[in-house]
Parts: sequence; C-alpha cells; structure tokens
Amino acid sequence: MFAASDCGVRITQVRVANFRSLENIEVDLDDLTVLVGANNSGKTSFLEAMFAAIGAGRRLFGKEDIHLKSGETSVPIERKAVVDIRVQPFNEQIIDLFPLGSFWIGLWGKNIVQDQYDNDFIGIRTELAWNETQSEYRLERKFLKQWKLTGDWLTANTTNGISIEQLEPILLYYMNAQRDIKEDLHTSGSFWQRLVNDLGLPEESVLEIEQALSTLNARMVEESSVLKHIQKSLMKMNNVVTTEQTEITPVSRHLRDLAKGMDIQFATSGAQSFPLAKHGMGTRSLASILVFRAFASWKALQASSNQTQIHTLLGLEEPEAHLHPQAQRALFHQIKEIKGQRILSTHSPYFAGQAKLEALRLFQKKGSSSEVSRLDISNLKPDEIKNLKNLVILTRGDILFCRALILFEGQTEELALPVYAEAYWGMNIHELGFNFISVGGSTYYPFVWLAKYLNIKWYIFSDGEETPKIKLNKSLEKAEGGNASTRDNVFILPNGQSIEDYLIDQKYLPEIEQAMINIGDLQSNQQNPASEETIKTKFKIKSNKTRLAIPVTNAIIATDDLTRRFPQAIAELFEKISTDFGLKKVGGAS
Amino acid sequence: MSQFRLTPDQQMVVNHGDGPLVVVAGPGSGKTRVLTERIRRLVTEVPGHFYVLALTFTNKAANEMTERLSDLGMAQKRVTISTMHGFCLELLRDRGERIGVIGEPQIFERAEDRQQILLEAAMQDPFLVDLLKQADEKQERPKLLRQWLDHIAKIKTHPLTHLGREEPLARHVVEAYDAGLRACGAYDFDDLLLLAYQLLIDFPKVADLYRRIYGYICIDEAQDLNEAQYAVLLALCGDSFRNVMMVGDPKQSIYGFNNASPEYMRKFYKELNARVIKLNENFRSSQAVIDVAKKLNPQYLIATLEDDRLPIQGAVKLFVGTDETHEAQIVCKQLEKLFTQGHTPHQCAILGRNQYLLMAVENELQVRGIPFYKRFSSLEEYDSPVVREFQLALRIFANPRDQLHLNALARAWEIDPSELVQLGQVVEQTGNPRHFAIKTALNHLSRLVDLRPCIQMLQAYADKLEDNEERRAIYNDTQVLLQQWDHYLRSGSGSSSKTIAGFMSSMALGTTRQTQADGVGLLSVHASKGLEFDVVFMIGMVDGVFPDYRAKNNPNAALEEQRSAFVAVTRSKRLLYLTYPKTRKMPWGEVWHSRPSPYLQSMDLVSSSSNQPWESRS
Repeated sequence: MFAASDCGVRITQVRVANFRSLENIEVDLDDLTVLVGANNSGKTSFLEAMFAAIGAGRRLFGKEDIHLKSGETSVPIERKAVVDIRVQPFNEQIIDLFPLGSFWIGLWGKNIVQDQYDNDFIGIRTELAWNETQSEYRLERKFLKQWKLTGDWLTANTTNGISIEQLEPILLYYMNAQRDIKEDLHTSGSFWQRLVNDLGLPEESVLEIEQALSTLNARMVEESSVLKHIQKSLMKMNNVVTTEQTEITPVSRHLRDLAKGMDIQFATSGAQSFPLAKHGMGTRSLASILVFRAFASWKALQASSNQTQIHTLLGLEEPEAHLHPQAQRALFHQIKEIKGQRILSTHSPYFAGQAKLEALRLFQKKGSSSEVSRLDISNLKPDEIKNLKNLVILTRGDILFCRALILFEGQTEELALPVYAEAYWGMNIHELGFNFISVGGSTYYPFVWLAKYLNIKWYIFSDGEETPKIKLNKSLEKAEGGNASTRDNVFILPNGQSIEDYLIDQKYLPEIEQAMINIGDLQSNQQNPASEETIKTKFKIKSNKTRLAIPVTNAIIATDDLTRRFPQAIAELFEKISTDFGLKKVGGAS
Repeated sequence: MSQFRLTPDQQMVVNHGDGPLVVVAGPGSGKTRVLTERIRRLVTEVPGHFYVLALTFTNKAANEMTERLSDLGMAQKRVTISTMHGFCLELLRDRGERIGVIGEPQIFERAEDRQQILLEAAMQDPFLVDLLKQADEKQERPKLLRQWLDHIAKIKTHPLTHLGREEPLARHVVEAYDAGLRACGAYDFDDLLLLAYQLLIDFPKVADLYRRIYGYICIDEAQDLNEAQYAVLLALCGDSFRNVMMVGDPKQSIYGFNNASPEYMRKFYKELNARVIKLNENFRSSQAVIDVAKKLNPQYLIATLEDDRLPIQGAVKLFVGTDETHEAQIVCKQLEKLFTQGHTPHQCAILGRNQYLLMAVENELQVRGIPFYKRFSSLEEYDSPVVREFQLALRIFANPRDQLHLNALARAWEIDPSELVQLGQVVEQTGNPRHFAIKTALNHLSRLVDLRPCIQMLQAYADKLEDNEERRAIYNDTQVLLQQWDHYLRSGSGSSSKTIAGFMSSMALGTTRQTQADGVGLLSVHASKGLEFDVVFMIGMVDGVFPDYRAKNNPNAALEEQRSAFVAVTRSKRLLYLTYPKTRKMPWGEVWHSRPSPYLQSMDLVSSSSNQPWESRS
C-alpha cells in the first residue's frame, strides 16, 4: 500500500514583494527558466530573493534588501520583504496530486493545500522583517494556506513555522557571476569542499593512507637537510617550555586536511596539463559549474539511497561570463544536463537564443521597481511558433535584447533599410539596438506579438501592393485590433506601389542609373544615355532587385540634394522612430 | 514505555495490519496502552510515507496519548492526536473556505449564549415570535427555548438520519438559530462536526487528500461516538479507506448527553466487517459509581454490546465531619490509606462545587505533605469583573461580528452597545479605571499578539485597588489566563499561526488547560469536566452549596446543578467518596449548622426522614 512512489516536485511559481527593486512580481518557473533583461532590471534580485527563501547556505539579509519606493529616503520599519514559492507534484510533467505513499506526503502532511481545482500544492512564504526584540532583520518561513490571485497574494493566510526538515529537501544553489573554481577549491562551504569533505573511503583505507602519510612525512624530514635543521632548532623549545615532541609535517597527516589542498590538472588536447588555477577565468568559471553538476547528481544519488528525495534548484548568474560564443553554446547543453530546476540570468543572446521561447522571462525596470513578462505561446499556431523560433535563432537571440523591431517584407528593404538608417542617424543599427526583420509572406502577427510581450517598440514598413496589405491588416487585427490606418507605427507605400515603383515614382531614376553605372550594369555614356524605360525595366527585373538594392541606396544617400537623400516614406518611418527614442537625424537636410 | 509485556490479546491488537479493527476493551484492560503501542509500531515499523490520525473524546485522553508517545522523537511528528472536535475545528479552519468558513471558527460554548442567540433570532422571525409571545415569559418561554435548543442539537448531531428530514417548525428554528450564530460570526460545538462532515461530503477531494496523508486512523472511546462523529469518520474513509481501528467499551458509554451511543461502534464492525479483538483480561469496575449516577439521572443508560457481563462492584461512601477542618482531615486520612493500598495521588481528585470549599482541604494536604495541584477555572469561572470583561473584550477583538458578547460587555459597563464600537471614546466618557485598564490592554494587543503584557496591565490595575479580595481574585484569574495562554503557545506544532481568535477557540475546546499535573487534583466541579480519576472525593455536599442556594427557586438553574452533580459523580472510575461537615464557619465568624445535600438523598446515602447518614467513619 505504501510502496515508494516516484514523484518529484517542481517550483512552479515565485512571487516577490518589497525585495530590493522587486516591489511586486510574479515569475513562473519551468525546468529551465532564462531571465533576460538589461543590467539592473532585477534578475539578480530575483535570484537573491529565492536564495533568501530556500537557499543552501547562509547569507545575511538586512535593511538594504528591503524595497525603497521612489521618493523615499529610508525604509519604513514595518515594511517587510515577502517571497512566496509554490511547489507542485511532478512526474515528467506537473501532476494534480501527490501520490499516496510519496515522500512529499510524508514530508508535508497536513500542510499540503488544495487549490480551487482541488490540485495539491505547497506554498512557502518567507518574510524578511524587522524583529524588535532582536533589533535586526530576520527571516521567517511559514506554510501558506492558499495561493491567492496575483492581485492580493500578500493577504494569503499562513500557518505556523516550517521545520528545517520540511524545507531541507528543496534547495536552491546560487552561483553568482564571480564564481571561480580557484576560490572554490579553498573556500569552505563551496560545492567542491562539500563534495570532497567526506571522500567516502572505507575506514580501513583511511587508516592505511594516513599511516602512509606519516611515513612519507618522516622520510621527507629525514632526507631533507633543511627540514632536519628546522626540527633541530625547534627542539630547543624543550628548554623553555615543556613539550613532548616537535614534529614537522610537510604533508598533512589527515586525509580530510589533505582534501583541502586538492587541485585539478587540466589540459586541452595536445597541450601540457597545468593546474586549473593557472587557466583563464573562462575555464575556471566553467569548471565551477561542472563541479556543481557533479555535486547535484551526487546529492541526488545519496538521497535515493536513503529512501528520501531532494529537489535541487540551480540559480546561475551569467553562465556566459568569460566564454566565447561557441563555448557559450556548448555550456548551454551542459547546463541542460544538470538535474533539477535551473534558473539562468543572462545577457548573452547566444544563450537566450538557445532557450525555448516559453522559458524566457523578461525583466524590465519601470521607475524604481521591476516588471516581469513572459511569453505565452499557447495562443500561437504551430507555424507561427516555428517562425518565431527561427527568427530568434536567425537573429542569434539579438531580438530578445533589442530596443526596437522594424518589420517589413522583401529582400530589397532588408538590404536597404539598415543602410538608410546608418546614414540617417550616423550610427550602426546594432549600436542603436534596432533589429530590421524581413518577414516572409507578410505574416507579421507572431513578430508583433513577440514585440508586444517583450515590451519592444515595433514598426512596420510595408509595400502598398494589395495582397501584402490585406495580410498586414489581418495580422494587425489579430495582434492589436484595428488596422494599419489607425496606427502611427505602420507605414505603407502609397498607390499600391512596391519599393521599386515608389523610388521611380519619387523621381530617383538618376540615382538608380548612377547605381547601375557604378556596378557596371550600364555604360556611363553621356552621348547615348540609356532610356528611362530601359532603366526602369532593368530595375524591376526580379533577379536584379537584391543585387541593386545596396548600390541604389548608396547612390541615393550620396545624392547632392540633401533634401532627397531619404525617400519620403522612409524618412517618415525614421522620423517616428527618432521621436520615440529621442534620436537626432545627422544625415541629409534637417 | 514497554516495561510491561503485552498480553497475547494486546499484542494481537498492536500487530494488526491493514483493514478495519474493533477492539472491545473492558475497564482496566490497558486500552490506552494498546492504542499507543499500536501507533508506535505503525510509525516506527511500517515502511512508507504516511501519518497516523488518533482521535479521542477528551483533551485528557489526547494529552495522555501525546505524553505516552513523547519518546518517539522525530516519528512523533507523524502522529496527529486530537479530539474529534479539535480535528474538525482544524479541518474547518484550514480548508473550510469552500463552505464559507473564513478564518478561525469562533465557538459559542456556553448554553446561555446559545439560548440568547436563539431568543434574539426567534424574536426577529415572524413565525417564531408569535409562538414566543403566546408563551408565558417567566415560565414557559425558557422552557420553549430549551426545547428548541434540544431540537437543534438533535438535528445537528444526526446528519445521516435527521438532517433534511426534520419537521417544518424544527427546520425553521434551526435556520433562525444558525442565521443568528453566523451573524455573530460564530458556531456551536455541533456545527464543528456537522460542517466538517459537509465539507468532506461536498468536496470529496478534501477527504481524498486526508486519505493520502493518513495511513491509519485510530478512534479512542468509540462507544461515545454520536451520529455526527460517525458521519465525519465515514466521510473521511470514503469507499476505499479501511485502516480504521476503534477502541472502546460499550459498557462504559457515559456521555448520555451529546446524543452518543455505542450503536455506532456496533454499526462500524457490522458494516465494515471489521475484525474484533476483545480485551477482557483485567476488569476494573465502577458499578457502584454508575448506580449513584443513575439515581442522579434516571435517563442515564449503560448500554451493553453482546454479553451482559456485569462489572465488579466498586464503592461509594459517605463521610461526615464535625466541621470543615474535620472534613478535611477525614479526606486526607482516607487518601493516605488509599496510597498504602497502591493508589497514586494523580489518580485521585477532590472536587468542590466552588473553589472556596477546597481551602480547608488544601491546608490539610499541605500540612500532611501530600502533593496536589489546583484547577478551578474553566471559561465561565473568572471571579474578578475586570478579567471577565477582558475576556469578553478578547472575544470581540477576535471576532468583531460577535454582537452577543459586545452586548454583554455593554451591559456590564452600563452603556449602549452602539457606543462600544468606539472603545477609546467610551472609556474617556466613563472615566472608569477598570474600563481604562481593559482598553489599554486591548490597545497593546492590536500591535502584538501577546497576552503577557496585557496581563501585566490588568495586574497593575489590581495593585491600585483597595479591596484586597478583588485584588487577589484578579491575580488568581490572570494567573489562570496566563497559564492558558502559555499552554496555547506551546500547543500544536505546525498548526495555524498564533492568534487571539485561535486562542479563544482553543479555550472553548478546553485544549488550553494544562495537562494533568502530579499529585492529587483539587478541582472545582466545572473544571473537572472531561477528566476521570480512579478515586474521587466530592466534598462540601451541603444543601445550599451543592445545589447552590440561588438555584432553589430557579428550575433552570436547578437542572444545571443536577447535571453538574452527575458530571462530578461520573468523574470517578472506581471509588467515590461524598463528604460534608455538620457545621460551617461563615467568613464573618458565625457558625452554621448544615443540612446534607438533597443529592445525597437521591443517591440513598442519607435517609430523607432524618438527616442522619447511613454511616460515618473516620
């Protein structure tokens, strides 16, 4: 009846209030959750808040960890930081109930709560509050009796204290960006030290090895003239104080002390092996993560041999630190192999780009507090999801970190617009943090949707042709409601024109001709110039479009008439962007 | 704990595996021991991740079991020991939101309070108010109300057979009464069981969770189950759960009130086809006690399960002292004699109708060096007005909707209840230092949930009084309150956060009382509720004292007195001694001749013609 049931747990949601910049946020957690966002947007605060709740190890939290509202100079004494954690039963996926006989039933018993759908969960509340009698900020943990709606979660009822045993099986290990195996090797409490503290050698072996160490010591002293000399001098202590014996131990005699001096030799293939401490930060940081991986799997192994279970979480700050892009990608796969739940905060598009879209959480600072958003792809069709994923991979994750998204259809635009932009603002689009994306088949919807979720400003620059226009409006309808005509961030070429039509219409034929001459498509022949019709026809031949896009653009932005350096429609788009971002036009006439 | 070897029958109970089990345990057959040993085996020897739920009827039994299992260490956390009511209260507090119970259910445990609620509710009901108006206010109206309360109790304690099938009038009364209670944000004891039952039935997933948590359920004193408790148990078990053990003795069913019946124990083993193990080895009897109890309450029935074997005799004796000092000497001499026969002090108790009766015997115990402890308080027994009123204020603090006790406090302070909402202003108007002390204490409480500073404030108020008696009374009362608060703070690991509301409901359930101390118990009759002793002395059995002279011309109060006498008598499991002094010295120096209590006549211990006792030994 009480056969051990193979049920795990997952932390599915975390809520934080009044912790540093986190005034009130809610974050859903997956097996692998990737926190993205600018510096200072609250990612580290979130990991620290989780550490305060269920962190492995001690860290002091105090007044400076309490949220300071904008305009406040000091923290009101009654304000407390609150972290709520929801734990649900898990067996390959989140399941409704802790099965009969499972370890977690035994661990939490009556403290298991049922939500409105009768599904089991455990809520753990951690409060950091001023304790009057102790005159310090203290952490206190309680079970929650309910998991309320996002709006008023702070008012949830709690039950009295959680015992250490009830909390212990769920542990967050937090590795910040400064991790370094060189430090870990010698810092007590590091994963390395925790692993090697008990080497698990049989007692007889320990005795045997320690005896061998004694012999070794004796031999070293015996054969070293220096050591012998020192020992002799020290013997003179006997004349002053009564000592039984003076002994020098060049090598530690105890195995457990020896473990403290352990080192790792590491070599790339074909090179000489040398200690890790001598390697660069990248390797050391990486080694630190790998040691954690060993630690976590060792812990899990130990737990299962004691008929207990543990659930390990890893909070990892900037796993990309000191690693080149290729190594970052390799590391991502290493991290995926670590058991338990992992929460990564990253600034690396390479890293974020490899995560699932739904695993991303975007942190943004609004005033003095942070906001968090996530992608809910449940409303998207499979092909839309595929498009988005391809896009993220295509942009190497850049899109997740960009400031603005400029969407259009067609290769001409893709090639030309960045060139116009650089000329217009005098800065490369990457410096500006703008992403110019060509969407296939005018399927704007998933991109607009993504931009909205990530809180990224977006703009559409579209052909005036009938089919794309209809598709555009459909996308807008779905994403926003309304259509192109009601939006000031959508720009459509007039009179059903394509970009080529438009340039001709805007009387850029001389510049087009110049471009064709520049790349040798036309002879520069003053006496016998190509007819307008020839140029038009050549310009509109499909196979020429992409070839001509950049030369034509270069010709236009180099034109002598400053007022004509940016075609009207493109200028309108850029003007709008300038207004939104407070940018200054540097090219062409102002 | 296992210094004694278990008999083969006892061992069989301890070793019983899965499936339903009924243990018919005669008096003195080691019932509690078997129960605790079985629980010990379940949590230490049966592998798996589960808890054990042990349900008892009295706090004393729960405490005793907890104590016996205190050496379990970490494994003790896997045992939930609670009274039925306590378990239901917790269930409602933790999961009652689904059926509209928000927060800590506040209990109106006093009959007067419930009667008042019913009266007020009925007065507002167009149908019931007519019935009340037809009744004579002095005589018939209280009778009618009591009758209605009985109806209510009957319906609420029979969720399986009566609920939903009651007569229109009865339904009307229940609905009006419930509405009145809920308007005050309050519940009665029967509600705890009824609502818990409804929660488990209407939300089967809740019961399902409990079945996953609790691998085994053990019921103590199963002969005292009433239908509501049985219904809760069935709902908890559902169709699948069968690891239930019932321990009880149909012969010892003494909760004649509360609609309890050994019927449910029988039903359980018939319906679930339970294994039955009888523990007959060691009989200890109380036939004599039961006989006198029957005389006090002719409706008191001793039920039998199958065989009608009668328990052995036991003893009831009367002692008469020349005065109170002599009475005390008789009691103490008898105690000493009993100790030489193998009784231990903590199996003995001395009960008095009020605590002042016990002063002489307390002196005597002290003189003779017999260890003893005192317990006089239960909720309704604070002597000092300030603590009584503070307790009312606590109720209002815990449950702002409690109009009933708000009115009571307003009456005590002779002000309009509507003014009481603004406590601070009222206190300024009345300028009464007692009111001020209470207000200050409450103010403190709103900042920090801690009664200790409040108690200090009340004591500071007492220190300024000139009346030494009242000062002493306040110190006594606050001491008791402090003990209860202390006990509340220590109780229930992992239960709800400590709140005043939680404290009030714990007090109502009696769980804040101290567990039994060492030595002879010196108890007021009220404080003895729910306890049992091998040996009980009821002293001061004088007419005018027990029953109290104030009950003379009040049939209602007279009945209450008689019930108290019944409770006191049934505290004894084996030996019952009743004593009275022929003369009593009044506080102002006069010496009164006393007549024996009419209860002694009912029990045939003194003849009705003469006032001479049957026997008087010393």
